[in-house]
Amino acid sequence: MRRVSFGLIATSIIFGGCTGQVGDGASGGTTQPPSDDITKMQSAQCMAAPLATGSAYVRRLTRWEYANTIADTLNVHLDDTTTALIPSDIRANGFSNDFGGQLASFDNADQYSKTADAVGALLGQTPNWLAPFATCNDTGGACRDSIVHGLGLRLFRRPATPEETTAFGGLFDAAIAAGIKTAPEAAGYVVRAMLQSPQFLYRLEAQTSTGDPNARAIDAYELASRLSYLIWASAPDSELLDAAAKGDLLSPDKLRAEITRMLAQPRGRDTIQRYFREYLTLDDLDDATRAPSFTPALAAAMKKETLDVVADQLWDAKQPLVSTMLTTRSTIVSPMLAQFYGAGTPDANGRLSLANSPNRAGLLTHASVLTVDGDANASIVERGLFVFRNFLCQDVPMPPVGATSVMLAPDTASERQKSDARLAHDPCASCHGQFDPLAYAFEPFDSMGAVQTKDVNGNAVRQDGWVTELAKAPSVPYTDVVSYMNTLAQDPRVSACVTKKVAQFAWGRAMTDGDQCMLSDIQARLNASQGRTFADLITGVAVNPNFRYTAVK
Amino acid sequence: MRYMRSLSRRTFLRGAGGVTIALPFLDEMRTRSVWAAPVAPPTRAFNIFLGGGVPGPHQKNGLVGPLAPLLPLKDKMAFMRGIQGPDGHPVAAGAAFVGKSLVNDTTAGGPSIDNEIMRHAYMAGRPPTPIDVQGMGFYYKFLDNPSRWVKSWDEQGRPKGGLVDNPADLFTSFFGNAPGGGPAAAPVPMPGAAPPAPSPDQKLATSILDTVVGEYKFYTGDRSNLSMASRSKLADHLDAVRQLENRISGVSLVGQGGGAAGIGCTTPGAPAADLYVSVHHNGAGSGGNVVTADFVKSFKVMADLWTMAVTCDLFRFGFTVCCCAGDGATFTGPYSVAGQMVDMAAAGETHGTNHAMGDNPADGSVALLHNGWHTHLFLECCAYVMEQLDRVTESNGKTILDNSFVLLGTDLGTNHVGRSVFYGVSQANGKFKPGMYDVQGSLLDFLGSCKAAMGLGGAPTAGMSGFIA
Repeated sequence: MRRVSFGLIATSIIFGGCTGQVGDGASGGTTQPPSDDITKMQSAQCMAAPLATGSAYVRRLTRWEYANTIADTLNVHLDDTTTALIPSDIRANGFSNDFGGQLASFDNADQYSKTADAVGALLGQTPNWLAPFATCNDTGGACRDSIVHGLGLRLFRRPATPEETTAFGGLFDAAIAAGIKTAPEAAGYVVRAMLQSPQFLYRLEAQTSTGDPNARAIDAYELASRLSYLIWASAPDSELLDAAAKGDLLSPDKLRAEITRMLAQPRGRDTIQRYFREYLTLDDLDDATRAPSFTPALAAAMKKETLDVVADQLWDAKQPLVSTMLTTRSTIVSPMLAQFYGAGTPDANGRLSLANSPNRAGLLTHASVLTVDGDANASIVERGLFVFRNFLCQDVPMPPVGATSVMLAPDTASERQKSDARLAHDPCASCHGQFDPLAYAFEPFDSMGAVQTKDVNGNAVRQDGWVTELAKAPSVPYTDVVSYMNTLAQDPRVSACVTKKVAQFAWGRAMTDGDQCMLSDIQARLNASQGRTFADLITGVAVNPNFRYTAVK
Repeated sequence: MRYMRSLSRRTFLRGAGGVTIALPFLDEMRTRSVWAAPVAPPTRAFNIFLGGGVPGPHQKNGLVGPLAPLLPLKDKMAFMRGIQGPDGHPVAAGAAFVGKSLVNDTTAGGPSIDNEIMRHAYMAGRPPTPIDVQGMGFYYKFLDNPSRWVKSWDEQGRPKGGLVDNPADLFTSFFGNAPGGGPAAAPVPMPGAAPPAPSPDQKLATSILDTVVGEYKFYTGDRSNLSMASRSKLADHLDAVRQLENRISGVSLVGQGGGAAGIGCTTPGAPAADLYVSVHHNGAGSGGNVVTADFVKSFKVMADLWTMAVTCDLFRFGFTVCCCAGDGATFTGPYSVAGQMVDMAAAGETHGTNHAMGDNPADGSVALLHNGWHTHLFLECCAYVMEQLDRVTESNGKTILDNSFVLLGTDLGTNHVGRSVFYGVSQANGKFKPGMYDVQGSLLDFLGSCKAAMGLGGAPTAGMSGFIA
């Protein structure tokens, strides 16, 4: 199924002792006008905030980062079979690049070894593969050291230390001693070892204090890696490494120039698509099963629609992130999906205006997202929780004992009628009242995202509702999905949540209360940017002062 | 220093050009075995987990029906009814051996009890064995939210130890290519025995890993510039690389490190290559259909290897996971439930069966019956692990199970609520009394009482002390 439901659909539930968690509050009136100073927080109240939050941790390359890195450093482009050798990423806290899910096991070591062997074999089939890394091509000691240094610079993303040159040079010599005849062949063994070493697999940064007991300013090479994996999900290129070597990245102007250069490269487009694959769980569609008509081809078309729109509108066309994401009335669809939507015929490039489709506005009305409920009921609970968690960054506790077996409405009632019953039942209303109304506008869509005027039980569907507020503040009513999306786009909680999610993806860990200053700073930089684009948000992360520090705890 | 190994596994030769050459390390390793049996059985702790809970209606009649697999352990274990745990799979599974709620998907509310016992018992914070913590078992929804299947958490509440679900991998990671394949288990080669000469390819393969190990050792050692948490993560990776070395080099871990192969340590036969029955997915997909007999066979083979590794003192702390909570796995084929053959396919997908049962299932309901089949299956696997630990008698005349702290636990009571969560604890060398106990209190209270009995401080909670000797 698209997503495993936890069974709140067919029955009504009782919540007790439920209190919504306040959002991150990253926006609001506390920020000062931003300056171009990347060394200070934008908010006055955060000027003295810690420059490193959380504990010191280490991130491992994800599968996609590994593949990108191999392609960009060794010019080895892994096919699907070889890519599948790289250990799968474990989704944790909503993202599969969360460092906490990067557990080390025998399976991992085995898979990294096999991948390294495969890369080594591919290099062996590539004439002159070693040329970019060394100007010599013999097995003598000087050339050996030059080769190791050249490979180390790209694969370790910094100059190799003397100890590393010795260790990997020793392997080079061992290969020669074992009968290997040429430098490229011997270097292939060095690559295989480097690809399994912590300096390659992990994004290592020194985490020892240099005075400040809590934070350490990272060096230029470490900053280069942070930038490249943030923007490209790959290793620094030669230009970025050169900039690091010269110390340019420590200059605010040159740092900004480098960020601008990097954002213009094709890898950035891949990164925004990767982010949305994670954020909206689009990869779940790869293994979707439901009704017989929900074919793999249709699921793939749904996923492609969202990824194409993201790349086209949010990256290429540089449209504002939050408003476009929620309100865009144009899309890019395959003929199959256009027919499924019944919204007209796309042009030769798949572009389709939705201006005359009253029910479709923004990514939340893409079939790829409307399928999140995972069963045939088009669950208001699941859809509401999805918006609540991913666009308002709030959550509720699990239902209490016995809640899932309490029936408040008949099975044949509409999703809206069941929700009305929950909201009329006081213990249920405390939690469901917060997130059910966030899905009312989607009742005209069935569980596969197709438009419906009646649900599976023949009940008429509605789409009016309200955007819930916390602390008994007035809720904001909406009449249909378009007005709902416009309301959400104007809600500062949504913008703050989007910032928080991107920051989580950027840092590879869940955000905590200790990150509030960092988040408000990034939000302020986004608000002050000209386009409020995804690229502006990424830039905000990269120029936030915290980006240049690591915790040393 | 927890990251330092007692055995140097790297040999350097100074080459003619002043270059240090990494050579295969195996000869050195083989001559450093510590072979003497321990004077007294070491402190050990293992968490034995089954997902999905043991519903209250199954518990009330004792060790019969779905709980029948535990009957052979009635004089060995103290079983608990009535523990109040948290609700919901992720939260409850993450708290199962911690007692506190998760911080997030990958951070527990604190260390698990096995980790506390480890740090209390060993001055260095870790045992002198080749592996710190070893996990084994199945969890089909492996790629989403590790808290569901991680059953050991370190002092910072971070996952500890990997979960291996392939019998062949488990064998080679412990025993390399050691002789012993075939029905008759061969004895462990004595220390100092000459290893078979490696081929040139093997030499370079092991030289690669030797170089890799050297790098991990640097970043986990005294000269590392990483935080302790980062070193701990790389130390886990180092363990994994070393296990990989074993497979490539064919060298068994037995006798390595500061551990001591115990009485009964032998190299088992290598398992067949077709025993892998797992399907990793992230919840979007499904665990698919699993033939019950294949599942049981695969698990028991791994249990044999895992417990033999305990016997050989390759690790003293670990966990097993016997499926299934929200895994999307459907078991098929015939299966004997307390002596009665059933068609497991009729029970449906495990998670769906729980939902069909609801929070308050009626006695005799079909959904409760079907859930009982799954419960029996998972408990059979858990019981098998404990029975294997009970087959080896140690120097004090007691079995490994008797001497160790073995905690049987689950995530939930009935369906998705933490009402009357079922637990069991071994005698831990006389600290707990076998029997069936109706206790009152929270999971945190229960684990706190266990810790008190294990000498970790604190006092047993009222209503939670009857099982303490």
